[in-house]
Amino acid sequence: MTGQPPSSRAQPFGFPIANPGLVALLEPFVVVAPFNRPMLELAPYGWRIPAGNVIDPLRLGSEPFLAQLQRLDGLTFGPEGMPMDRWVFYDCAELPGAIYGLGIAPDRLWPWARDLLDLPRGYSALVPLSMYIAIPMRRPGTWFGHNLASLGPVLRSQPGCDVELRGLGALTKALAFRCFGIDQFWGATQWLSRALFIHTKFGPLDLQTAYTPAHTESETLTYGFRVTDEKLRASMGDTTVSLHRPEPTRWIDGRDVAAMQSLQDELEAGARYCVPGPPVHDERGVRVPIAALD
Amino acid sequence: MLGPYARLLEHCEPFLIAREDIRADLNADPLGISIEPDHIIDPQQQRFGTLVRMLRLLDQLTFGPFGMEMPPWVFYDCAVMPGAIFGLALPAAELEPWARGAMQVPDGYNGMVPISQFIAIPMLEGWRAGPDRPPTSWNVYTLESINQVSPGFAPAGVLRLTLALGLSVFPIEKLYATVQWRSPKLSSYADLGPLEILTAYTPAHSLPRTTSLRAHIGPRTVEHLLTAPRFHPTAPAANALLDIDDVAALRLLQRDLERGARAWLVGRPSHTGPRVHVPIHRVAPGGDTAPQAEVRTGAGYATSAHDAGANT
Repeated sequence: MTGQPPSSRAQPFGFPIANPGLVALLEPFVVVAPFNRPMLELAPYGWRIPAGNVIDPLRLGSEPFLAQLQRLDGLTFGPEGMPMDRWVFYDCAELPGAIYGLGIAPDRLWPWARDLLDLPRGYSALVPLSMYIAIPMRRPGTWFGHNLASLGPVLRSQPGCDVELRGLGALTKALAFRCFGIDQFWGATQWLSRALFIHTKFGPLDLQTAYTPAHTESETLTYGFRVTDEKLRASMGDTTVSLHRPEPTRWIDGRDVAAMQSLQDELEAGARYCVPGPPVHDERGVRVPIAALD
Repeated sequence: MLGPYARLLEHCEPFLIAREDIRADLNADPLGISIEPDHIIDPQQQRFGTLVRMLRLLDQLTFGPFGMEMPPWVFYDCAVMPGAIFGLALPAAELEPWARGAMQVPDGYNGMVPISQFIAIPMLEGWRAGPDRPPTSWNVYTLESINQVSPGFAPAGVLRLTLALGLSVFPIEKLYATVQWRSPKLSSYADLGPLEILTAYTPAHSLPRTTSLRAHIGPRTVEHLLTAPRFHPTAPAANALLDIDDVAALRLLQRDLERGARAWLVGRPSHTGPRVHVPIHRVAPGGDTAPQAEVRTGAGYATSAHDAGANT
């Protein structure tokens, strides 16, 4: 690696995070249209987004960077079959909402990663390594997050890679929450997804659906939670914070569709449940804890 | 106002797909047309799978040829969760056998068959309305009708009526829309009045020859759309014609917009042989909104105002 850390990363946070090395290595960015920009916090937790990393998706010159975001999405979600077309990025993220992420300066990028990321010759913008996309909902502060992409696992799987990007996904998501000013969060994920490990770092997840035929994968759960500073700090690895998590009252097998449908029936009838903590992945499969509320 | 659409309304029924918590922000009696309670659908419940599946097929038929078919997860994440879906439907019993086949209506199904849809989601800037108010700015990223691919499947005028009713269902004061320049839907949008062109060429989109538009929706906008579409008292006169198949011209206008120029679409596209032009009103950086005549040649996009056609 070459180059010096930019000044934007001086002394952010003020509390311990799981992997402070990320702050020394990476730079934040945001993709936001000019008319939406005043609604964002451009220095979440004191980590200011450099002016040159505030990307206007309406401009021709932004195209190479936005193409890298699509590449990042493809590398993250391609194997699961849910990569995003450009029109989805534009119509459902860049125009109405925002994309927050962390990237690395091109002169600091590991040479072996250039081919993997399919960087065009002469590419000189920030190289995005993670992103979080959210769409505003019906009231200020309420957002739906629909994409958390991190190249951490992909880069770690490369032969000879000694890059330490542990915690990149959770850090990106927490910083995006603060940048967007999220008070009430909603999201959707699959029962078998490893992303549940990241999502549950923010505390218990209130269940809105347990079986979702309107989604590509019916075995999708819709979840939400009120956002607090403690939850964000906990998600980033601040060990001085502990979150209350109710005891599980049952477990859902990640492949048991009948159990999901039964839980969905209960939710439609007015019952309230949450996912209090992370799933368990072991030789028996994937089991997700469920706790009754009230 | 709806008089010309009486025949259509004799057959079509409006529907609304909206989660429970957003319904309070939406108008279930758009332009006095009541959406029946059993046509207001909670997309998070398991029992509405058939209608949602047919809606997916409608999208596949209309946007598939553009390579922009909406995957179900996008429908859920980017429509159901942040916004809502309004549309018109025909009772399955009224469809001829070929039409039932085209929409893959299951045997024995007697419910609604969607023939149009209008999807809107809040814009972040719309939150400026205040903490306890619905957003006032919305992005309409899907507007489609079965007649686009199967003229005669549904009565004429479905797309325009869907747009008018959709604008009345959602509390839209400022409309954002992304439209492909060659889309026939551009005419319906143009009839809303002057549309500010935010992007003339959009490489961030799957189809770069897409425009991003913004319009203020006033109390008379929908009336104009339905009754006097070629007369817009608030539209400035055109001072340029844009060849919407000329990528160089689109990029030139885009660069001008990025340098601070502003431009409005002020009328419907006009077709002359293989050429399609749209009338625009362009204002140079720092200029006011007064009409400005300008002539360019080659890859330019402007001509004189009197050529702008129907809107002048």
